[in-house]
Amino acid sequence: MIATAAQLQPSNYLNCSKGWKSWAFTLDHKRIGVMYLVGVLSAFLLGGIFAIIIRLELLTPAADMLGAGDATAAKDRYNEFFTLHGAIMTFLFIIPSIPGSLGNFFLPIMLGAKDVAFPRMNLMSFYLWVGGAIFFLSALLMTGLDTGWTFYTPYSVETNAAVIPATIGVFILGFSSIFTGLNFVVTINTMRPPGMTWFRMPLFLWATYSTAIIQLLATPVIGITVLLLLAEYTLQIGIFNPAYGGDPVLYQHFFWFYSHPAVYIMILPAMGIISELLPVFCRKHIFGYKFIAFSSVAIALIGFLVWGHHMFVSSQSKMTAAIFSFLTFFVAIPSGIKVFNWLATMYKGNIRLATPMCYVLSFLFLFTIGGLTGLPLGALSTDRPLHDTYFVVAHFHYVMMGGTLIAFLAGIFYWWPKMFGKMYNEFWGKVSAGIVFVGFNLTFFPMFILGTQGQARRYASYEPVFQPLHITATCGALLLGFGLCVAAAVLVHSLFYGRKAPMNPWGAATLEWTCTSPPIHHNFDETPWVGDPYIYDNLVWDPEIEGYVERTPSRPGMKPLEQPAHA
Amino acid sequence: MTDHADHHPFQAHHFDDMEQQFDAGKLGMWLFLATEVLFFSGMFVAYTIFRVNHPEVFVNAHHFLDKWLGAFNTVVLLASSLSVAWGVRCAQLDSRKGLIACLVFTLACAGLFMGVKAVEYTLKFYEGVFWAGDYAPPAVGSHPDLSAAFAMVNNIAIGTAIVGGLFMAGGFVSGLSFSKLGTQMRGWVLLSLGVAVASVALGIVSAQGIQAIEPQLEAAQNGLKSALGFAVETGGHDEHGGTHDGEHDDHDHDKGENHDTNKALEAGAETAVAADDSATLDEDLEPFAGQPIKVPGADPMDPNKIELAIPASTERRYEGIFFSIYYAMTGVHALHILGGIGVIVWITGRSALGQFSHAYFGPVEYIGLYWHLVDLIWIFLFPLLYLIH
Repeated sequence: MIATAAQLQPSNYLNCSKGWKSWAFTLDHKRIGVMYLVGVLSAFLLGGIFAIIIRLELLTPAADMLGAGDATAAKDRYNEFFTLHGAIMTFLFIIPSIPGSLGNFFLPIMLGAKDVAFPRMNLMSFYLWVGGAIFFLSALLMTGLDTGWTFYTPYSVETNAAVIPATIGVFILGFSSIFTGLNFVVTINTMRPPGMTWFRMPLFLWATYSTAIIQLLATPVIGITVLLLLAEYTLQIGIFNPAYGGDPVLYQHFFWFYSHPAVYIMILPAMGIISELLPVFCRKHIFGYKFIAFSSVAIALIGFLVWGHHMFVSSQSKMTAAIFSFLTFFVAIPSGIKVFNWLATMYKGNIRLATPMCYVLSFLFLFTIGGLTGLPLGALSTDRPLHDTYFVVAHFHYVMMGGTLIAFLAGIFYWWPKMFGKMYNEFWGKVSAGIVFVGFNLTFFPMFILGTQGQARRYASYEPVFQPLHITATCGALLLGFGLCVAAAVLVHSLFYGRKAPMNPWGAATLEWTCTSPPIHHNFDETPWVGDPYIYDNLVWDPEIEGYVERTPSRPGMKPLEQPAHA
Repeated sequence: MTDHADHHPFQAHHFDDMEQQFDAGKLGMWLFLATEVLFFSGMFVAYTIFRVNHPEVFVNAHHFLDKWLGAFNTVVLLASSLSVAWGVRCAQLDSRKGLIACLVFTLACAGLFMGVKAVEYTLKFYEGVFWAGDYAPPAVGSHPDLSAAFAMVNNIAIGTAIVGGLFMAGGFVSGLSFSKLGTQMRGWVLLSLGVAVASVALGIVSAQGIQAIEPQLEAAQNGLKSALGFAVETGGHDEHGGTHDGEHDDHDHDKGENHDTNKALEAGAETAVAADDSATLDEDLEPFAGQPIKVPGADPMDPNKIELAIPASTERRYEGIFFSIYYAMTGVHALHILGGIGVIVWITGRSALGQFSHAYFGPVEYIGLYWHLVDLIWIFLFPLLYLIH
């Protein structure tokens, strides 16, 4: 009998069962993570296409391209496109991105568990995401949506745009997010194997744990908010609509009570990825483990107290605004703690510029700019002129995209060999990191300048004097898009032509690297031994398998015999 | 790993033992309840904001709500909470009979609650007491003809009684007995569903019965109140304010701060009727919305009528917002009751299959926790909406 290729391959989560049903009804957190990955990246592609269209419209000062010369039509289209860009990127991409894909895949493995606590709820979370996405797409295909992703009243209850499907979509996506968060908290609390104490957990888990707390405590509020908004739109319940005596500022409070903590849902897992990758590629123990761990929790908690800084010009009292401004600066403390600890980890480290590390460095640079430009927006006096200008747009793109997206890419490149068992081309991976970095800065740095010069956001047309900077940004956006395509090509190419990945290509000490690449269905053959996740002394480079192997007994201070290929 | 033979049949593969599985489920349910609390918190915040800004409107508007029906529903839900907790105890003691009886009783209470709620909603709809957008209440002092509304609730009662009866009959036909537990899921599911639906009819009948004897209830309450009132005068004073009822004018016992606004409001409400035709003024009067009501001497014949009409007409619309909040809160709460009914029916079926025992009673406990939360939310809603003072 001739053995087929599949029979020769050792069993793993990808080939242990076949057919579409084995994926559609899977309860395996790894497969759900992969489905999430495909889903959020598709949403990212869609949102990115909208972004490119927006940038192309802004090539010229007049509103023309989207309306084929008709300015009014162009402006209407533009409103819809930036709304859908924002809504899709926020609700369908960034919020579920890292927790849904990398979190689902690696949280149980890094913890040493066989699965998340509630696998069926996990699958349901994914299908709720799909359901929410369908509602969003139907809003897109119906009359469009032009309210901005924030759905501010009273406009959102007066417009003929597809507010109903979009808000139903947000409601459903909220449950998807809650289920993910609930699963993560319960898994980490109750399913740690013997030896996995809280302070032996990899920092990525601390970050996802903090994220999950926000998902649990903030998301229900957006749920009731959009439910009331839906009732406002259909029945005129008047709570948010001034025409019936309602209070539109109350809507803003409700909305930002979720949506500001949601910003930390987006960034905290990214910070977790950075904390995970930096020590591996510096071959050095993470600096200030407990500070990084607790700063994640601190960010999660402080994040609940600062929502009012989105409303400095929305008729808040001066006292309220001052308090929110004061509290906002507190977020800078734990964020700063993280950045300084990362830099201290790199100090005198044996830094290896593998592709994930290139993205990590990119993150450090961009996130720091994004974080520091948040300070003038949190200060009352400087926020007044900067509010709703391109400065804000640049700031949150530096944090959300330069922060979260870049860290997400770093995580994907880092864990790709583990997820799919294939090594990608290092050279082109690094090239993609470089192009993305340059393209990103070209796109968004001019927006800081535009914002300080008074260019307001959300307009399809602008003063001709701003055109050079707008052209720069548009060129940057195209370059950025190209860089992301290169990254995607590198990864997809590896699936078909990539070298088989060893068990531990980077020499990391967290538990997922003790599994096979890709992991088996139940993750571990036997319950793993849990040690410090950031001690690399025992791991030595084995040129034969082009990966790291553990050498026992440990001989502290041993250097790898030979440099790895990606060094 | 241990041999599979050692595992409880309901232990999921990824848990080490039943205890870990139970702890995970329980923590999960508590976290879910935390999200539920935050879900409702949005509406509680909206309630607080509008009540702080317009306290008199809330005092005035709640007279449309029947506190006796609310009190009845409170008792019903408390009883259901007791029975569901008792059910957990039965499961722990391996008493399948007791467990099923407790769950069916809980379902009956849930049905009763929904029946009373159906009467309340239907009467309000026929009176025109809708949310802000469709708010068209009857004029103060007038008594709209509600015979159509009563015909409607009676139809609902008959309908639910028939449907519930059919379900119950189906349950009996499918066969159910306590002695053959372990094989009879369908019969008990149909029966418990039937009990829940038929109890709606019972709730409607009860609500009408309560409404019929309300004068006696009022009299009894007043008697009790005056008796307590003497006691209050000798002992502590303000603490007992909560037991008083805002519907009555005997505010003399009450040192509450909205004493004055209350009277002013009653006067204001009457002028509102007088000024109802000037509703078109509303748009122009927008800036005055939310201003405190100034009704010195509140005489409808006052020549300075327009000044009185300003707060009165804007206040009318805030009354609508009170009912928006009322419908939002009680509506979402009722949806949670419906969801709970569905899950309890399913748990009843599993109980009939004999799946729960001292070794495995997690799902019973989880639904019990959920049901307590739904009860608890009502415990907050009842005084906040029905007993405003």
